[in-house]
Parts: sequence; structure tokens; C-alpha cells
Amino acid sequence: MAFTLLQTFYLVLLLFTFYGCLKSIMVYKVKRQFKYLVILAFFFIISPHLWMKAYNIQMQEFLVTFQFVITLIPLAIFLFYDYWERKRLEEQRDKIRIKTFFERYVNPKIIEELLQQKKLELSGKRQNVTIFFMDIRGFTKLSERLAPEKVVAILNRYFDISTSILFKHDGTVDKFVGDAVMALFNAPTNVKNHELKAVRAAFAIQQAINEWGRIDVGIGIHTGEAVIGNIGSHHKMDYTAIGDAVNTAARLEGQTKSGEILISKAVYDKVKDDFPSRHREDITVKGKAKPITAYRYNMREISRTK
Amino acid sequence: MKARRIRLSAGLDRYSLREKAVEHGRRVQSSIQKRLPASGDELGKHIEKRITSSHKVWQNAGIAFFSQKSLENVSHFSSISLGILMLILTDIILIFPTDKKALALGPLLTNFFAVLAGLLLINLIVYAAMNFLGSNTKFKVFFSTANTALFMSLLVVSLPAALVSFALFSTMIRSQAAVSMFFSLIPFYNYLIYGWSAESLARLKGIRSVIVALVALVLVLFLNLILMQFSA
Repeated sequence: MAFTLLQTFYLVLLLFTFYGCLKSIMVYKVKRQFKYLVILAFFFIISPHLWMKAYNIQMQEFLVTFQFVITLIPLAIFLFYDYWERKRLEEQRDKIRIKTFFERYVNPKIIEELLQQKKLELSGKRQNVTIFFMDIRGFTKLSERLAPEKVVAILNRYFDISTSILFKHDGTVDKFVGDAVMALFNAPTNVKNHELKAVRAAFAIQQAINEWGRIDVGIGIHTGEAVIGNIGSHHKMDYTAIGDAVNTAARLEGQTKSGEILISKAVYDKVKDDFPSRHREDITVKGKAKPITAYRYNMREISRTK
Repeated sequence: MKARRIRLSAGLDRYSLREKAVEHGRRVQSSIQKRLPASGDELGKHIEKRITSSHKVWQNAGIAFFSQKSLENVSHFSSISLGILMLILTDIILIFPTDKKALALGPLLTNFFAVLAGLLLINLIVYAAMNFLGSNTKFKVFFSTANTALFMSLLVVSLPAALVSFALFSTMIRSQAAVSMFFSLIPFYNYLIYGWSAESLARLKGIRSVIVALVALVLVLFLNLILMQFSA
């Protein structure tokens, strides 16, 4: 069949339209955005017109030629919907399985955020976070005195109390190191007044631990910029924070005694209206040339404020 | 039976003979060790070397269905010889006559060389366009992979589709124009495969990758139109 110049032009346009259909399907598969379905529909609608023009065929003849194909369209739509629905349900089932498995270890918010991502990225981002460190005072003596089974039982109860309170205050438990707990506020999801929430969590934990009465803990809190992300190797990675702010929080926690909370000036400036303190100190910590200004609270003070 | 004493040649006593035997044993052992793969990985590589390119092409038949993974796999074992083989096989499928009159050696040979030259020219122009737009893909990779994609689409999709369509619809369709229109779907699929493979292999971003695809599509369409005109 010989084509005229105009028909050739329509053939080229038709080919571009097919390419447009293919490209919009491919991009939609990756990005899952509705606009690509609209583009696909546009190309799909104009292609029969171009086809008819290219081959100089009337609408009636076109429909007769494709009658068999046209009758198959509802079936194709049904099969496509069925496939789509199955895939969606499978994804949902996988998500629920992952969620129920990891919910014991990680804040449900992190799971939600990770499930939204296509894959875990190793690269981190700089973010202002509040870092929370807590440790049992006199744990070595306690573990020497008690049977290992009892120590494990105490630790489990202690982690249970602290985790539930931290989650309640929108904190993310980063890790347990021995008897220490590291938690983050304002990561991975943004939390309003994260400094205040961290301090409230610290007071709530101190109160709960005090009521329980088996152990004493010290808490250090600092806020600042840190690199947040999935850090590690492809085989093992942790969602954690790295930076000077983390070290400062850990050092502050190291300066606490039983039932105490030590917060940096950066945190205090944000919470002074709700948690005023008269115990201002300049603390020299390891690895810092200049002393850090910090504010100290203890359980007696907490009882008095209550 | 009386045991005979072995006579050793001059300068060779039983001690030096023993040393030589031990040395020989060591050599045999080391040669066996060299031949045997030391680990599972090495064994895998050893077997992989024995698998021919044609096996690998079959294993990646998904290239005919726009599978990006298959395209990447095929591009990893690309070679000029594989590209030439795929080009010739594609050519053979394309020139196969549907008309009894055209089944003569003379026209077949003319068609064969015309299509071969056309495909080669398209490959060169598309590659030049890719380079012009900033692609760093090697010619070997493009030539081999794009032709493999085209051949596989013809073999796996076009030929079965043409046979089924011909059996089902040829009696249903009335006019010649409608027949041409209906069966144009099959070459269009091949054009798209070629355009997509060129675009993916160019590894460009944004509008430049689209331009590569459109250039490839237009060229392959025009080759087909010219050949149709030529054969008519």
C-alpha cells in the first residue's frame, strides 16, 4: 500500500501517539501519579482518529474491522481491574505483616514512613532533632546483686515503661544499648514542640519509674542539628541520628544522678515556661573545650511541681 | 618368579628418584587444583562462561515485552558479533515473502541486502543522534542490544501475532486498506521496541531521551515505508 505525504504524516503522528501510550504506562508504573493515566487516556483516544486518517478509512469500516477487538474491551477492563485489585490487596497484606512484625521494635510512625518509600535510602538528611538519653543508675551493682533472670525481668519492665511513654509523646526509640535508651524527637516525622514533648516524656518516665520503685534512672536531653537516616550497610541498617548534638545529649546524661533530668540550654529555652528550673550549671564534658550550660531537675522537684 | 632389580640410569639413585616422584605428585595436585573451581562463585563463573549468548538471549526474552531488566541483562553480554547475528536474523524474518511471486532467489537477495543496509544505516544514525545528545553508551552495546530487542520482538511477538491475526481476522476484514491498517499493529510494535531500546540504552534524561526514541521511531518507520515502496 502506497502512502501519500499527508498519510505518512499521520503515520508518524500515530507512531508518536503509540510511543506516548507506552511511555505514560511506563512512567505511571514507577511514579503512580494520576496525571499519567490522563495522558494515557488522551493518547488512547486520539490514536484511532490518526489511524483512520493514515489509512484513509471511514469510522464505520474502522469499527467493523475492530469489532472483535472492541467487544473484548470490557473483558480487558475487567481483567485489568482484577489484576490491579489483587496487586493492591497483596501490597496491603505485606504492609500489615511488616507493620505487625516491627511495631514491637519501632515507632509505628517510622513504619508508616518506611512503607511509603519504595526502597530504603542509605543517605541521611540534616534535621533539627531533640535527642533523649536515659540510663539506669547503679545498674552494675544491681546486676551483681540479683540473679540474671531477675535482671532481665527488671530490664524488660523498664524498657516497656520507657518505650510506651516515649511513643505516647511522639518519640522514636532509636536504640537500647545495655541499660541505656536513646530516643529521638522530630524524626522521622516532624513533631511540633519536640523539645517540650521530650521533656514531658522525661518527667513522665521519671514519675513512672519512681512509682515502680525498683530502679533509678538519669536522663539527658539536648536539641540540635544531626544527620538522620538509615545508616549502616545494605545487610544491616538502623534508623538513627549522628552528630555533635547526639554526643552532647549522651554526655549530659552521663552527668546525671538518680532520678535526675539534665537538659541543655537550647532545650531549656523552649521549655522554661512549662518547666522552670533554678539549677543552672556550667558543665565541662569530655570532648568539649567550652563548658555546656545545662539545667537540672530531680524527682523531689517534680513532686513539688505536682 | 624372580624379582628383577631395576637398573637406574647414571646420576639417578633411589633418593633422587623419590624426590622426583614427590615433585611430580605436587605438580599433578596443583594442576588438578587449578582446573577445579575453589568456591561456589568460581564454579558459577565457570558454568556461566560455558553458556552461550543465544542461551542468554532466550533467558532474557522479556526484552520483547519492554522489560527493563532483560534489556540491562542483554546489554551486559553485548558484542559486535551478537549484534551482526541478530541483524541478519531480523533481516531474514523481515524479507520473508508473503506473496508467492516474490519467492525467487533474485528478489530475495536484493531485498536481503537492501533491508540489511537500511537497518545498518538506521543503527548508525540513531547511535550518532544518541552521541550528539550526550550519551556515553558504547556502539557495541547499542548495536547488539537494540538489534537483539528488535529480533526478539519479531520472533516472540510479531510472528505469532501475525499468524493468529491472519487466521482469525483475514476473512472478517473486507477492504485492502482495512487489512493494512489492522496488520500495521504488528510492525508498530517492533518500531516501539526499537525506539524504547534506543532510548533506554542512551541512558539520557528528560527531553533528550525522548528525542532519541522519536528519531529511532521515525527512522525505522521510514525504512519500512521506503522498502514497501521499493517492493511495490
